[in-house]
Amino acid sequence: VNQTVKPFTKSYPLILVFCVTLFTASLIYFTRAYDSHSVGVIAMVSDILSDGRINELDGLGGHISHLGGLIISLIVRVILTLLGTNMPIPAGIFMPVFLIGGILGRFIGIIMHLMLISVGKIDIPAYALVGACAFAAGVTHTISVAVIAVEMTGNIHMLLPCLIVSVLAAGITKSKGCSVYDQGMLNKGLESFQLLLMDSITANKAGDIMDSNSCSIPSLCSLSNLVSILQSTLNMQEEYPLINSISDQRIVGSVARTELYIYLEAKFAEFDQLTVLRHCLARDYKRHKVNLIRKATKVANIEKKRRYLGKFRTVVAGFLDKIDIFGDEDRPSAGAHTKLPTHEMDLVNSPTMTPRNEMDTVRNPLQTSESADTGFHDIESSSPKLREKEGGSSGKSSPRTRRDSVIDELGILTTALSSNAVALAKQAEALSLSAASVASTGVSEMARMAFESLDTDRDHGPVDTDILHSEAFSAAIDILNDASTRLQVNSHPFT
Amino acid sequence: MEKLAEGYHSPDLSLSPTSPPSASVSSPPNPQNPLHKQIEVRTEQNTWVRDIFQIRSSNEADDLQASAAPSILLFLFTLGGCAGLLNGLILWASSALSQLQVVIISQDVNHTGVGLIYFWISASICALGSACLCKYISPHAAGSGLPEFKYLIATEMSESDHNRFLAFRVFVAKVFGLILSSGSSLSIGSEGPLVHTAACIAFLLMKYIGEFGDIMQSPSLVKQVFAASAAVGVSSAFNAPVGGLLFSIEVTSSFYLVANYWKSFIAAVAGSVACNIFLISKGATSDPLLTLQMVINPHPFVKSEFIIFILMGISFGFLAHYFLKLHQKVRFCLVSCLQLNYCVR
Repeated sequence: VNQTVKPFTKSYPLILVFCVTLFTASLIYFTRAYDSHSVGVIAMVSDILSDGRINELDGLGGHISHLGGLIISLIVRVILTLLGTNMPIPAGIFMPVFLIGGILGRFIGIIMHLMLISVGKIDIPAYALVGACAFAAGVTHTISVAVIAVEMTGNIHMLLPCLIVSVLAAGITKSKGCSVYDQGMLNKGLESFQLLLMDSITANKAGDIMDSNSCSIPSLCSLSNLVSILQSTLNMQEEYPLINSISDQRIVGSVARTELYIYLEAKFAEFDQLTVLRHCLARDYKRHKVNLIRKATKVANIEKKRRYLGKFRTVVAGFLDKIDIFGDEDRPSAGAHTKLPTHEMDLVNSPTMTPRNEMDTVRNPLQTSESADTGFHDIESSSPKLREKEGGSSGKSSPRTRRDSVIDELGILTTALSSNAVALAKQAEALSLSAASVASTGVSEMARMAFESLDTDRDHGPVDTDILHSEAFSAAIDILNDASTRLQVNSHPFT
Repeated sequence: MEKLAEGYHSPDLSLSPTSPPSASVSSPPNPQNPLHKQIEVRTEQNTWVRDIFQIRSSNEADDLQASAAPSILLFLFTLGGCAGLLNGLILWASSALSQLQVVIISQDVNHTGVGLIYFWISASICALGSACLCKYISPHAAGSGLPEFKYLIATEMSESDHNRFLAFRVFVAKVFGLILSSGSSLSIGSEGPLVHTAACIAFLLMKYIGEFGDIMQSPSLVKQVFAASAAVGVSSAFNAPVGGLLFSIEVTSSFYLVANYWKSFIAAVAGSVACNIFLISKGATSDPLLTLQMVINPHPFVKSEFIIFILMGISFGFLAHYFLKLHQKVRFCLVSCLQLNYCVR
């Protein structure tokens, strides 16, 4: 059956439904297939199981015999059922099929009654019920039709014949094809495993339903390969075949995904470095950006306050010049220029002034991650500019020297940190746990993240000199340079 | 990488200056007591592997199922009551519509053909109304609901499938469409749509009532609930609780968990009781909706008739097979010639 996979929206066959309804109504009207209660299938079923009043077509004037009426009724029902249950409206198929079987069973019952009228009494409604059970069981592939029929009619004596015919009919149709519900699934394009099973009885081989893209694990497999296999088949594979080797692909056994996780947990616990790396990767990118912006505003605030300080200092100097509190011998010839450093130191040391505090926080190891970057910028590119700016705004020397000393300290700190970061980055590559992941987001980001976590590592003593002199050192330096340039381009506080 | 980074944000792993991880660059792994290390790691820190790969431990699922046990009982009773009452309402309404058609036909006393025209009009109004409901509200309501139901039961649970086949729109279209189409004198049954309706009720109850929201967390429990809803649908459609239960077992036969059959049984009995209460309160005691009247002897057959029954079973099996082939051919003709398209995905 060729299946088109579009749901019907505009071409909904309303006209077809209309025509089929007219046809059905005409046939029902002419065969008088209704009683005083209802016009539907249930009236027919209840009639065929009791006295057969409707189906003998008495509306046609009694010209047709008992059996002829049943045959016409059967043909009409089959046509109407085939049409009606294929209409795109809510429509079940059990009752019409039950009715068709009932008509057939009643037909057989009447024949038996005519043949064996001398032998004994044949119960025609019992034959109708048995036939209905058999046909419905065959169409729907369910044996429970027998129980349903017995419960529906409230006649427990018929359970055994109903069960016999249901089992036989359902067995025959099950061996031959799919049920009406499976047909419906096929027609609606709903795949299921049951349909696959049904095909496999006739045609399918193992290769037809086998998944040939599954990942297998060789018995000698490195840890990184294992992790990459697990990551690449995430939510796709629960069980992994274990093969001898890549070249010799004989299957050794199979291992479950969860068992591999347990093994990896135990294995990773042995690598302390991995914990560090995890910390490095823990902070995501957004959070880091927010931090950078906060830092930029902080540094800008420092600059602003420094400028205010310069203005305030000149105002105080002018004021002191004018009111002339001190004596002539106390006043130096250079005016406020030599006098003012004491004032300024007081002002800087006072707790209300934030620049001093900001400078202090730089040395706080808890915030080294933030201040390390700031120092980094200052040292690498922007410190000459800064000096120019400061020189332009106020020609005073002491704050600048103070700042320079801080900057120098930061520089030393940064170089120490960077060497540590180099070691970390090298370990990250050596472990190659994150080889794929690091490559995906960029090595620079990882290195930058490694910067952040260095506050915890600084306490653990100096870095191995072997690592510093090793081959990967130059490569890691390149990575760090790249990272720093990216940082400056992305979030430079002074541009 | 993003998944990896998401997995890392467990709170015990965040950076804290007071307790830095024991991460020294040059410290070797501790070979003395690996067992101790493993236990410590698994209990305290290294849940991150599980976090990354989003494993739910088996204990968690068991706890969930255990905690949902009291609410599942209440849920089954609620499902049986609601679906039984609704199915009773549907059966009663379609029967009333059908009776209306009979009244319309019997206007024509002298067989002048006026009754046929009246019948045409009323039947086509019902059928077109049903088709329009399916067209404009939800095309998934068309047809017997059992293929969709079997699909939901037999495949892996997914939220999109539930929202597509069991949504409120489908429910509304199915209920009113079934009432109209059953009343339109077309030769159709009602058991598949009733099963679909019961499954819709089960899904809507789980989705919109907070008490039963826990059930949705466990896919196996959801499948059991759907099997129970099939039992409710069949038992209230035919007034046959045991048959409905068996039917639900047979429909879901590929992997039915027999230990959970009591859930289907409770729901089936509750649905049958609710449906009976509704229909009896509407005065339908003599109606074939409740019990098909059979005129039959207390001992309807003799032992030699078993041969006939066996022959009937075999021959009716073949006939049913040919009927199925014919049914599929008619479907194929309608699809190819008249562009009638049933596919829903």
